[in-house]
Amino acid sequence: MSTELPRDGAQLWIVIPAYNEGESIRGVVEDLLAQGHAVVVVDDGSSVPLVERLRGTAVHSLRHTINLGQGAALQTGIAYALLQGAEVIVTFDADGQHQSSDIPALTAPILQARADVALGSRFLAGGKAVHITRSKRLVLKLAVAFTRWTTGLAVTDTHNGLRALSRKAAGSLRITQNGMAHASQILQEIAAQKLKFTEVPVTVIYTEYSVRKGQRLTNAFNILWESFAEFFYR
Amino acid sequence: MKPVQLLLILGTAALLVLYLAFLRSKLLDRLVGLLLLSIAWFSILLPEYTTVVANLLGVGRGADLILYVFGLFTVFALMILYTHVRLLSLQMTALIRQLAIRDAIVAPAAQPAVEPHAERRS
Repeated sequence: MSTELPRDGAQLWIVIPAYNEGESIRGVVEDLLAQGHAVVVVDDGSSVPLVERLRGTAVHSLRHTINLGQGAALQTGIAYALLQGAEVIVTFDADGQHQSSDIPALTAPILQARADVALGSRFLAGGKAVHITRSKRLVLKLAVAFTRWTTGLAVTDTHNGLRALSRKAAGSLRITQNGMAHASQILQEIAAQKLKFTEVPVTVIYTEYSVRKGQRLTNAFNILWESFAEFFYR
Repeated sequence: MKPVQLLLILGTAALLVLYLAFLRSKLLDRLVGLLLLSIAWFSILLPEYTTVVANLLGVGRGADLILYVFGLFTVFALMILYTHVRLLSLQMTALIRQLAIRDAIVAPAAQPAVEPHAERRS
C-alpha cells in the first residue's frame, strides 16, 4: 500500500491536487509510480471524475464532491497520507510542470532531519524556469518580495507547488485557505510555527498545457484579497 | 397621506410579516419587530419629528440621521453575513474532506506495483 525508502524506511507519499486535468495527468502519475512512490491524487470536483483517467494505475484516488480549491485539495491529500502513515510528504502539481527527478534532492533534507520543510525553488541558483514568460516571472518576483516582507522568511520562490514536508510539519500545517492563497499561508505557518525550512533548486517547465491550465496573472489580486480576508478572521 | 408614505408603510408591514412568517417568530422577535415597525411608521407619518431627534444628536436633518444609521447597520449586517458564510464554508470543507478520505479508491494494482520498487531503489 505504501512505499518504503531504502535508506531509513521512511514512507514517502506524493500528494497531487488536480482539477479538470486532461490525459496528461496519467503520465505524471505513472512516472511517479514507476519510481516507487506512493501517490495520492485529490480530484477537486472535476466535471469528469479523474478516476476514469487514472484507471488501472496504482494510485490512491480521492475526490471532493464539490470543487473547493487547490488549497483544500492539498490539505485533504496531506490528511490522507498522514492517516496512511506517511513520514515524508511531497506536494506535486498535476499539470506536468514538475520533474520527478527533483524529488530525491527535495526529500534529502527531511530524511537527514536537517529541515521540517523543503521548498522547491525555480529561482535559486541551480533551479530553472523553462519557457517562463516575462510577465509571469515579474508577478512571481513581486509575490516573493511581498511574502518576504510579510513573513520575514528569506525565500526565493513562494508560489511553487513542489515541496517536501516532514510528518511533523505536515501534521502541524492547517491549510484553511481553500483557494490559491494557500501557498502564502503555508509560508506564514512555517514562520509562525518556527518550522525549520530549506530551499532546494528545482526545474519548472512551462508547457503549453500547463500555461493554459495555470493561474492567470490577474488572479494575483484575488490571492491578495483572500490573504487579507483571512488575516482578519484568524 | 402622500403616495410615498403609503408605499413605505405597506412595504415595512410586508417585511415584518414575511420575516415572522418565514424566518423567526419567537415572542421576542414579534415584540422587537413591532417596536421597529412602530418607529418606522412614526418616522414615515411624522417625518418632522425625526429632525427633532437628529438635532438632539447634532445632525441637521432627520433624513440624514436615518441615512447614517442605515449605513452603519448595513455594514454590520454584511459583516455578520460574511462570518456566517465563512463558517459554512469551513464546515462544508471539513465534510467534503471527510467524505473524500472515507471513499478513497485504492486500485487493486496498488500493492504489487509498489513492492518491487523498494528493492530496485535499495
